[in-house]
Amino acid sequence: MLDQRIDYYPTHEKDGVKYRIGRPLPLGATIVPNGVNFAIFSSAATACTLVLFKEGELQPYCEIPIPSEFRIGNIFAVNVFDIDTEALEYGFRFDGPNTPGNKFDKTKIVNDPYGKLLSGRDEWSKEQYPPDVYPFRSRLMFEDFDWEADKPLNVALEDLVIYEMHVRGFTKHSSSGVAEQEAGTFAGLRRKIPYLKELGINCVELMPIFEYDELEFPRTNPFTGAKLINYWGYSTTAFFAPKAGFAATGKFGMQGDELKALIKDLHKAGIEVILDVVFNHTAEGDHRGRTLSFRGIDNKVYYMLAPDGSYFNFSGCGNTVNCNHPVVRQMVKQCLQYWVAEYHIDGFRFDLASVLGRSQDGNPLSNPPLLESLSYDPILANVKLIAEAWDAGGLYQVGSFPGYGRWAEWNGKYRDDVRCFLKSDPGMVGKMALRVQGSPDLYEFRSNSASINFITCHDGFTLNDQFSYNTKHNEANGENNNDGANDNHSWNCGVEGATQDPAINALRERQIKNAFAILLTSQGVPMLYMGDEMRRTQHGNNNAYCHDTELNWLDWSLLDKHENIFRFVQRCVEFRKSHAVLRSKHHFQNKDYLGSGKPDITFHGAKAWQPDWSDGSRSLAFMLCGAHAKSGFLPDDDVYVAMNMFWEPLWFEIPELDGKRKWHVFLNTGANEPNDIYDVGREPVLPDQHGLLLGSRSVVVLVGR
Amino acid sequence: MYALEISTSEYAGIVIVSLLGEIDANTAPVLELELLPIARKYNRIVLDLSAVKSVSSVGLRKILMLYRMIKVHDGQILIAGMNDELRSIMWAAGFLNYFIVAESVQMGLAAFE
Repeated sequence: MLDQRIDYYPTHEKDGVKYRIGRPLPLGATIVPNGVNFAIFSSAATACTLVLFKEGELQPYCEIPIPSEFRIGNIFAVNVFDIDTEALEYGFRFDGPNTPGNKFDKTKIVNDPYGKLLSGRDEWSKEQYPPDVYPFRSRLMFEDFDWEADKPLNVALEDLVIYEMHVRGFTKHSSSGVAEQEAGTFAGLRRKIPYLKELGINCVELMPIFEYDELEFPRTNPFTGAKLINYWGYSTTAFFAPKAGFAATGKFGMQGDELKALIKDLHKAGIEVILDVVFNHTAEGDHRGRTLSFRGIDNKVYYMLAPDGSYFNFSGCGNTVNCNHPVVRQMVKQCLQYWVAEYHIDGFRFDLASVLGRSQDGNPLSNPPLLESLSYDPILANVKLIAEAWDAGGLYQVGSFPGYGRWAEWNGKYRDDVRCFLKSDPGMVGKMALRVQGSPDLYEFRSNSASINFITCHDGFTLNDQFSYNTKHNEANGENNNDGANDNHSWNCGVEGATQDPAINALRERQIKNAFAILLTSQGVPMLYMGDEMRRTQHGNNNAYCHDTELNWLDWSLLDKHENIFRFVQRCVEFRKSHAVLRSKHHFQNKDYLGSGKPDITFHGAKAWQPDWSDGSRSLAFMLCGAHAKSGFLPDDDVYVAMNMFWEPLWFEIPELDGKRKWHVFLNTGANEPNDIYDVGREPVLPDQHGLLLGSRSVVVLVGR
Repeated sequence: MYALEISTSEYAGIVIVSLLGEIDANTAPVLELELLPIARKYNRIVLDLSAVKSVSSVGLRKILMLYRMIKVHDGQILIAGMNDELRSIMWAAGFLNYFIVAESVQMGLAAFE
């Protein structure tokens, strides 16, 4: 039937390759019954040539200049027949006037911004093609994965426990137990799903998995001489393509299927998937960087340029994507729609998201079109949208990010305030009262779930190192220790780095437990950092972006060594998931609006009902009324949390419960193991219902039932 | 001499399809042509991949297509003789859970009984 259509047949031919005019939409390369349709946008180009390669070959087998009559508005469209869809690699050459803002170079072949797969780094760290012809090549992907019964888990944001992780680092280390060909890959991660279930988290946030060039850094490690590798991946080369180097089947071009198989199994295990996405800049750098894609296609549309044509650098990485240009924001939106529809992604965390709120000339917008369109998009309606609400250009929007009632934020204030409280800084008690209740000072017109609470993430020290180092030690990064944050609010407990001193080591362990206890009993959405549950260390490096080594690879032998910490975290996660009172979506009203006998939240100090808000106070307790859990819709037990960051023990007088309920001890970081934490549901009764002694720098959690 | 050779035999109502060579975009059409009538006729297929060197993305999809065709009449496919690499690839790409897996054709036939 198909071949009865007149437009089924070619009208042109070059070097044996037949083609005809294509369709302008969808953009990118689309497999159609009689071949492949290629469509690409450029507002300033005067000529566009489609370049076709067979995989593995250095030179193209055909170059098709796209005739001017094939241009529809600013879109060049050509339909090519008889393509070997599996072996095809393609790209474009653009030519145009190099008036200010344009950077056309017809000697360079550029890849398709909408390319669904990219070759060039099919295997991690292997240069597949030399840089001078066409090093990163767009490819076609079969979009026919069988999802079977997979459907969105739709876990409410406030019920998530997020685990930020790096795909390669999770299983690359030889101790992971994963087969060598799967180590450091999506398949390897899939093998470890039982571990994630055991830990109890219900959401993984994957550090960048869009294609990037791990070999892009020119520098070497000053100590070992080894080339520094872009390990973290915040430098995208293809926004629609999953990184082949993260796939065991990458060298067979099946990274798409492998990632989908992983997501399918994660969903079966009740775990949502959030992607860390980097739309604020690309791997093309500034005027000294490589031309791989955007720059050679339509530089002044895709990048924010200053009036003199130079690159604005709000990302700190050389260029800034012009996100609020109508064409670019369309691309960003379609990209996110693609990942949701094709890969069943449950949410996105936007790196340096404040860039997405800047206008084309760099100014902050109060109603940025891109953010608005993402917030109301129908395909993105149920996904989580999380902003790292600052950028490298001085725009800090924690609490003020244009969120349209949808966006959550990485709460940098939670991180800083809790870190300062943990090291016994004065004047922190008032701030802690706000942080543990979901930061209503920042999110007054939003809800608790706007606050993504975290104490550590990939930026900064690991949790172990947060209590072992006062200052950063990034010499191995090759920048004389000038890189990385200086405001870590860390405290080494007395000695810098590893020590044999048992008192210091005991304090460090207690501080780690304190951190987890506070994080997992705070309102908002907790985010844990991979490996903290087994005390992973980076030996004081707080900016380990460039090390593809054991410094970053998770050493699974730590799980045995620090089983006590793992069990502690596991129980805290289970406690949180078992108690709705810890996961309120709406802000507390600080009053008893249900007539239960006590307000939804109350604060206390060493004396019940009398918190000490003075500057010198280092202790605070709060009690959550179980009857008010989830605004009264899911009544729960009462929970009381006492935090003593004073360096001496303190007796805490505990508020009385009504006659029927009794206080039980869930955890006490100051108690010797195994009495530091108990199984959820089997907490022993607190011997003295009127109070207990908190050790120095300790946290206690009681449950009243 | 084709890059892919297909031979079939029968045992107790089960058809054994033995492949030799490579399954990729070039050989896949031949595979589809041969497998279609087999999938219609039999309810149980043992697919012997012990002499298959490599399977590409298109190849895996053809094998999955065989599964879909046989599923229409509640059939089952058993894959026998995969080497470790092939098995790892099929598992990683999410293609393995549709099939019963056996070390060899003999063990596969036993499993079917």
